Amino acid sequence: MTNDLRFTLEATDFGPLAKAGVELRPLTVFVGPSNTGKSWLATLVYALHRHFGSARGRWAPWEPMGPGEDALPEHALADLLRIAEGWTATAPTAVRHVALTEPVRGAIESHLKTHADAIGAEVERCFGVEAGSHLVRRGTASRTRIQLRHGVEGSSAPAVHALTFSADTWAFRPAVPARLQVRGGSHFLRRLAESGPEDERVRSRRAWEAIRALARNVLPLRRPASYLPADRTGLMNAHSTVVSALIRSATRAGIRGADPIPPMSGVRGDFLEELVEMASSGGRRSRGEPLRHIGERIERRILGGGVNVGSLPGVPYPHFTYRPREWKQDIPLANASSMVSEVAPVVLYLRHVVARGDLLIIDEPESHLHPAMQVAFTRLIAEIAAAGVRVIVTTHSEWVLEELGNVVGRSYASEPGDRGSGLVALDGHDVGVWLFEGTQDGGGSTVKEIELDVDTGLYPSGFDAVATALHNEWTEVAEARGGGE
Amino acid sequence: MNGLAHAVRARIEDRTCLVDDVVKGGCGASLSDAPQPRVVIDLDETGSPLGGAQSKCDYLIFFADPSLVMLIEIKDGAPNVAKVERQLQAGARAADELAPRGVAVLCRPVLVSRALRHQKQVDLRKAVVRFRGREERVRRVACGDSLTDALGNT
Repeated sequence: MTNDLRFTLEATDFGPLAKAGVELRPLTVFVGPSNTGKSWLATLVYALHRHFGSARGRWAPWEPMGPGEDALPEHALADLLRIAEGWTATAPTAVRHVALTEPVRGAIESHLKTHADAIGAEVERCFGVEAGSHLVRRGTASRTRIQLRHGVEGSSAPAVHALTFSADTWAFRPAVPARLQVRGGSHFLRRLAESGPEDERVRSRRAWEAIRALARNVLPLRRPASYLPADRTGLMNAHSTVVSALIRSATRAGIRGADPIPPMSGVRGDFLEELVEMASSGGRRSRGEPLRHIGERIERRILGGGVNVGSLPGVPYPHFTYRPREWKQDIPLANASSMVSEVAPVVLYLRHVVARGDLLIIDEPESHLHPAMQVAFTRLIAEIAAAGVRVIVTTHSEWVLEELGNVVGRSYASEPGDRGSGLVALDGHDVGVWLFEGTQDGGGSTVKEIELDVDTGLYPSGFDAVATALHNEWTEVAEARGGGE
Repeated sequence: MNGLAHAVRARIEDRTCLVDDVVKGGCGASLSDAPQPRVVIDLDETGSPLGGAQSKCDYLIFFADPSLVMLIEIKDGAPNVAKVERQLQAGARAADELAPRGVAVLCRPVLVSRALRHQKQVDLRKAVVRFRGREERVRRVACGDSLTDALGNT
């Protein structure tokens, strides 16, 4: 698996988290007691991808234009022109490396710094809060610090980008490397190279376009992200009500005052929006090759039937259906079991939205699933990661972790044939399991990585403490009922 | 009040096997908040009431109050529950010989281990150790945790 799927996110005094440092791997699992910040950190990852990444092939419309209409400093422009000319003189490749001079790095940095408020707005939107102050750890902290750390080719030191915020102030300090790996952007560099010196305004505008194009390559957050929030059943079954209420409210705009709309977090709103657009766009939304085949396996192994999205005549929102295997008729998803509603969005996202290289966050994949299905679903999630999607999972399920132990354990087999009849195996280095732990004194949660115990095949997640307590309680029960005599 | 611990200590001729800690390999359990007085016997050490070669558990701990013996088997890796059961049963026989007759003694067989997979948990529920006419279920303590968690209702 590729290294560009890895980076480390560190958060200090963020929501319930006192301190968290998590390296995101091809498959990352957040585990721990409730209310310790697992979904909180996953939402932050999503929000940063939403800001810096492309939204289904479109660059984010909220991307700042740079520091006003100021001309690029003279040295930066001269260096950038040289880069642009060199770019157009060489054969195009999917990924190229560009050596950046100090003036150009400074220009990229000054452009990225102007993102601070837009990043803040996106983070606030994803969490469904009105101000950054709601995201700062309550009680003791006055400021939150987020750091994003990743390796840089040709350098032993990592790049460290810092986002800080307090009540209403957001600041972003990017780290622009001297050597930048560039995907795309050739259009803007070519346009700059083609612009003549006679029209300074055109050249200046194109120079900033090129700076913005290069800036998109600085952070490892370019790929689209999808967040499947917890309680998908509730959202799936309520979405038509929510959407129709929004449409009804929208069509009355101007006739009467706008209805107050209760706040909804961006992750839930985006989920509903994606479902609606999935139907209205005729299905396919992904920029790359969707993972339809894994979706089909989920239908076969978990759902025992197929899910579909369409529309009913005259009804302006999608109609989700489920057809059990061997049936000749669809049934509305709302009439299927909650397990189907919970898993159906994963199938639909794999069919229409998620492509290799994207980020897919699944909150509590175990919800509404029998343990046997939790195990099967975990294996399929590992297949999604093995197919090249970066996956983040939050979980409270020991079944999920136990199967993950098997998935990783299989990779230790010396021969692929020993790994168990073609079952998915993930290298331990490609899987990160992070334990979120609260403190008794209310000092905020902390996060640490837990490693697979290869002897027992288990991650030391703390679930066993529950099993031990239950076991010992049962010995008391057995003794009390007189079975010992 | 010191009856059981005192009586057992008196029966051990070579005190080399009397120890303070309960640890084997990379796994152990804490005695810091366990009742005193107590006698901890390492069955692998010289002077142990059990010979060297036979199947046996790792430790016997005799407490005076409550009057109780803990049979301790420590597994650093994944345990074979049937073997653990046999080892604890051997420990129960040794405890039976060491504890004076005519004194009521409770027995607590304990497996100290790292996390167990589900099947091991189920197997362990079925494991039984017999001590002086009673069948005792095997209790669990996680590596690093306190043994008092396994004292139960005494």
